[in-house]
Amino acid sequence: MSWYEWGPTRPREAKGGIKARNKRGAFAESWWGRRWIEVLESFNIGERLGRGRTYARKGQVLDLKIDPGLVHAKVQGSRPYPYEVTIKMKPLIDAQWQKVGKAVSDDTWSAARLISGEMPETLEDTFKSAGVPLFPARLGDLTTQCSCPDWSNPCKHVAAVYYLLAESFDNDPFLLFRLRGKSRDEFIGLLGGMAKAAAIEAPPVPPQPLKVDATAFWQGRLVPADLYGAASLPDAPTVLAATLGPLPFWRGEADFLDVVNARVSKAAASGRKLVEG
Amino acid sequence: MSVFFHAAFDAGRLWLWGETARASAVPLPPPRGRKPRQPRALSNPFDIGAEALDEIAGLMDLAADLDRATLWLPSTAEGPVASSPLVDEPPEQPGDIALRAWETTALGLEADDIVKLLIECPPDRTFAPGLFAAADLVYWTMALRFAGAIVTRGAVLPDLIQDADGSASARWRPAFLGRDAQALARLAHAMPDAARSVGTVAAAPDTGPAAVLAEFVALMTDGLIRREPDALPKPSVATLDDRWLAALTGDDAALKADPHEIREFAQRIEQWRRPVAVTAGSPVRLCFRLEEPLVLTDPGDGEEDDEDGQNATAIVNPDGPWMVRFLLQPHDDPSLLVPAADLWNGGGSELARLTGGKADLKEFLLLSFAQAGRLCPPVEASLKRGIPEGFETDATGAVDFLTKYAAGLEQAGFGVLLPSWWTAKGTKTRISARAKVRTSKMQGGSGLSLDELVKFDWEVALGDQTLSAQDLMALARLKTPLVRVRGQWVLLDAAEIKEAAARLKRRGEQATVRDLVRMALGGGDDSDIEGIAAEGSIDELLGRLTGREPIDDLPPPKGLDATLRPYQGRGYSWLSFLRRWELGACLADDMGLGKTIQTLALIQHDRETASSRPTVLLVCPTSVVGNWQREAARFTPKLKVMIHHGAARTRTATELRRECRRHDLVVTSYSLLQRDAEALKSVPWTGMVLDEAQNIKNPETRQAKAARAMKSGYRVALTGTPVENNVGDLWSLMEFLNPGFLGTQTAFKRNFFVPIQTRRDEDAITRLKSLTGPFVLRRLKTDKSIIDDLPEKLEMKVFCTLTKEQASLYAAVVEEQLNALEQADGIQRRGMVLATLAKLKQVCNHPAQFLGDNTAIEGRSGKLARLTEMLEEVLAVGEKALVFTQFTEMGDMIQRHLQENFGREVIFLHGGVPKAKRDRMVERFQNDSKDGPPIFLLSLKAGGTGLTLTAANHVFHYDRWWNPAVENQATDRAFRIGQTKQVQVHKFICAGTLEDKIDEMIEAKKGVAEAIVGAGEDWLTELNTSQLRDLLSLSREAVG
Repeated sequence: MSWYEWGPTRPREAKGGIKARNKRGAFAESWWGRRWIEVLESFNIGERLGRGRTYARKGQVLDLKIDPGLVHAKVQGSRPYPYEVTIKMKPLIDAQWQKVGKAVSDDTWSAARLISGEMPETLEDTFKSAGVPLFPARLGDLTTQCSCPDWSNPCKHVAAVYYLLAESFDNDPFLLFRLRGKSRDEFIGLLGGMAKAAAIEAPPVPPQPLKVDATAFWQGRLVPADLYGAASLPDAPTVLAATLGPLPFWRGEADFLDVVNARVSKAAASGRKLVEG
Repeated sequence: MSVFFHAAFDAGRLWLWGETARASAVPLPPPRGRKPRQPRALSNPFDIGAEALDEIAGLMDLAADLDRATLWLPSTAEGPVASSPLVDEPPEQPGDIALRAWETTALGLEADDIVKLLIECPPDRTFAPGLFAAADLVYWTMALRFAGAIVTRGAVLPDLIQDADGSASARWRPAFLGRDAQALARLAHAMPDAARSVGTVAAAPDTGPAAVLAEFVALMTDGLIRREPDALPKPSVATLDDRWLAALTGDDAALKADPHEIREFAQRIEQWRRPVAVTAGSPVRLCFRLEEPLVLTDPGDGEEDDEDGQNATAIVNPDGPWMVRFLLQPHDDPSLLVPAADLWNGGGSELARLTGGKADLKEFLLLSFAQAGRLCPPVEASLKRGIPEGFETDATGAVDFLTKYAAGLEQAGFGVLLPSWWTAKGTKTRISARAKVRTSKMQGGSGLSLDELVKFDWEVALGDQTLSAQDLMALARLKTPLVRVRGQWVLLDAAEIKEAAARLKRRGEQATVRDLVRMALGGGDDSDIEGIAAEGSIDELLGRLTGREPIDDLPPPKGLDATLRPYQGRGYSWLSFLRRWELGACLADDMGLGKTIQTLALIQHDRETASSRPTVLLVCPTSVVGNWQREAARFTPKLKVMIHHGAARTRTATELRRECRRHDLVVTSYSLLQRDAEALKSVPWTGMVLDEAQNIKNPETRQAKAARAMKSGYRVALTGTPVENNVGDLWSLMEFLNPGFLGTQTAFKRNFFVPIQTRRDEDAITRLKSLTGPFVLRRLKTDKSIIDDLPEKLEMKVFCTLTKEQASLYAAVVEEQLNALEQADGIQRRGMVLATLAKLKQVCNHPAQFLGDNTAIEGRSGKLARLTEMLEEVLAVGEKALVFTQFTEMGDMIQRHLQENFGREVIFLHGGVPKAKRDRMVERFQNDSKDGPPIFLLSLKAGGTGLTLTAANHVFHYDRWWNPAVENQATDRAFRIGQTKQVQVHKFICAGTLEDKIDEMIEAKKGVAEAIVGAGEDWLTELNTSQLRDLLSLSREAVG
């Protein structure tokens, strides 16, 4: 095995890869994302960890797919075709899920946050109290594979996927559950809601032909003077988007809610001018 | 030719098109090339054409290209039914109408263009004379304001729209939650069908108003949010997420990506938006109800406790907990409130029954909780404790909920139920302060001016209880923001208590009487000041201002050469009372009630009582300068009147001052007020009167600024239009009358204009009324106290001023004709005299009538200007008028001019109108409906006899027929059996012209005149040339 074949190589530049939002310092922002990284770092894989982080930041991970118990990713290395990476994690069994569901239901706020896409800090404790581990405890809980020629496992490609997973979890905590074998809807079912979230469809609007009466046709009716009731316009908008929290699985560089907030607040001022004349 | 602009919304564009009388305008030619697959609709006969529409696009700087739209309009066999009678006569048989497609030239406007167009759309629907906004176009301006309100509240969410053709775009979408959903429905209900009349040849549009409106509002909110694009830092490798965000905030909303990727991303967004979708689609909503602690008995509450109920004992600080309860409320039955906890505990069966068990209420509830928890931290804290019942809190928590969280929750679409004692500004009962004036030695009027300083102390009260410094300290010690006083919850703000205590300490403060009056009327800057307490003359002044006490009737001035009607005497006394205090007064009596005579009485009274000669500046429209001069000469002949008008006027400040000192009344026009402002400002006016004061309604205009800049003791404004109806115009008027009373323009806008204009704020309306009411006197002809004082028929002469053009034409005609007459005699001379009279009458009517050259109408005739001003007042109060003229050509011009200025139909009956059409005109005019034509123009010959036109209560004689019998007969079209209102007859006379002199002659010897004049104008031909010269020559006053 000669050095030029197996020595440190430069990966090819990847276009449109999933770029880590975080540029330096600690990776994930949320506690569960960080917990995931901590687990990874505890595996002592040395140099490859740093490489993986660089890969993640450069956008070498091209595709990331999370299925129950299985993560599948493509990572652009030094060869023309990207490597295939899989990470397998043991799904929880039904009995374990039942226990977790019961424990979460008892805490309305946790349930409310979970269902709206947030991960309550107390969740790991809730899992613990149910006697069910949320995160992999040992390297042995995970099976990782990569199509790269590197013999060491996990390799830097696996590590890169790991880092991005942490960021994905930041934004969509249900991915973590998915990895453990239950989709969001299935989990909501556990909380006592309906097993499948009903699709929301507006009722069909019946067609309304034009009136033939010329006066009604041209004049319409009087617009109520107090169209908005007694409500006054607020000094600052309550940005509806902000009440929904961050967009799940955000892969952008800019902070989603910051941009939305700034834009809406700016527009609110010109909107007011329009209303008040 | 009047043009109406229309706008209909379809498929993301607002289609702007114009409608005008069946014209020869060239529509946009059909596109060349292939034959269209579908048959084309007939061309709209009222299309204003490509050229006219293109001009509009240019004027408004619209980006859209000329295009064609297919409109579905109610139509008869002849064509579409026009939107206004100014375009086409209404069909006689309303039964035969069906919808038909018409192709018209149109501009398909996108968001930017729409904003440009709609913000230019004037509230009175008139872009310019003859260019009007139709109801459907005006409708969209309100829809745009609705979109503006949604953006102002931040009730929008970013979204990814996938189009049928596989393309995608990033869009901001309004959420339509709660109140916005209701507003959407209410606004949709008002939509004229014309606003959604664009379809295809094959099918008429049938998307309902609510859906069309929602689409329009969505387009506009998106447009408004991306209107000022700011570039995001360009990401190094743009993910779809980044590109979506860039497309949301940049110019281009389009998003290109692999369809699979787009679909996946759209799902993520949908997931994120889910709470809002669930809330909007849910049959119930989550409500938060603030519940007060239980108070068993309130000390100090009730009748038996009075004298000795000590202050402090009436204040209670209940120690029970406050509660914010979580409830579910079905949209269908808002009176049903089910505790959210019931649902949690497996109950809520009533709710389930109501919602048909269809909705996943638990998911809805959890999503709602998560959203509410982000807005209101106590909600979050309470949910951690298990069953979601609500949360207990203390008074501070209750105040936090009321002031910090309630509005945000409501905006996000949650129900918020607050106690009735809570208003947007706090509890109904609050700590308030009153200025108690210490001394009042001053005697009313004589010598006391508004600028005098008086001393006062503050009195602090809570509801109807006066508080001492100790009471305040006790309140501060309670350390709670909400206490109960005599059964009322009261918000105690530490800063407010401190301010109140400080006020009590500052004894013997000083303020001018003017400030105290303003304070008493509620015009203070501090919201806690609640009137003043005074005795003696200040109390008297306040009592009279607020109408608590009557104003003493003043005997009319000796020099007044007329008898005041009782209500005129009251008006004159009122003006004099305010004048004594140098407070500005606005006399806004209905037209014809005699504002002129009341004002002249005031000036005459001033002249008689003042020690030195008072000089009053009177500003009026050019067209009535002559009228003022006449009325002054008639009613107050002792007043020395100077007309500051015309080219020969005094211009330098020094000369003007000297001239003015020699006169009692100086009459000038609004245009000269601004042109000679510097000179006029140098004169120390005793008083200043603005006639037709609506001329200064816009505070930014030069005439309004000039009016405010004059130095004057007292100020009076006269207007016949109902000022109180237009809040926006009030500030300028009041700032002229009583500077500073309504605060700065910005403060006025914030405190009154916006609250009243956008939401009919009752509180603001009441306060504004209290502040302005004392200075505005408006009596209507129909008032009970007035009607008995008035004759059933009131005849008035309206003296008009010639324009410069008219005056020089007039002089030229006189000169030419008199020279010609010297050489003529016999029958030829008679004919020439009559021709001369006719020519001069034409010049008085309008130069264009005399020249017969079809030139411009606007701004060339004093009479026409005056007629327009007066008819505007008639229309403003919803009355109808007849206008008589002898000349068909003049009638045509008046009709065109009025229609273009008012946008209302003016019907014209002349000799050429066939019988059937004439009957229809009369029928439509007499018809009660508000849409009928309000002005009926008649030629004296065709309409002077026979008809019954009692719907009118104003009769205008635009030109004179020197035969009172003929005129009276015409007047009697309105003044006859069936007339229920008082009739006003306005006879127009150009001052200083033959009209004026002949009128004088007739008046001087009425009896004789009727004998001579009986045969019309023939008697004039008997006059010799020198007599004729006297009669026809223009006197100096005539020129404008």
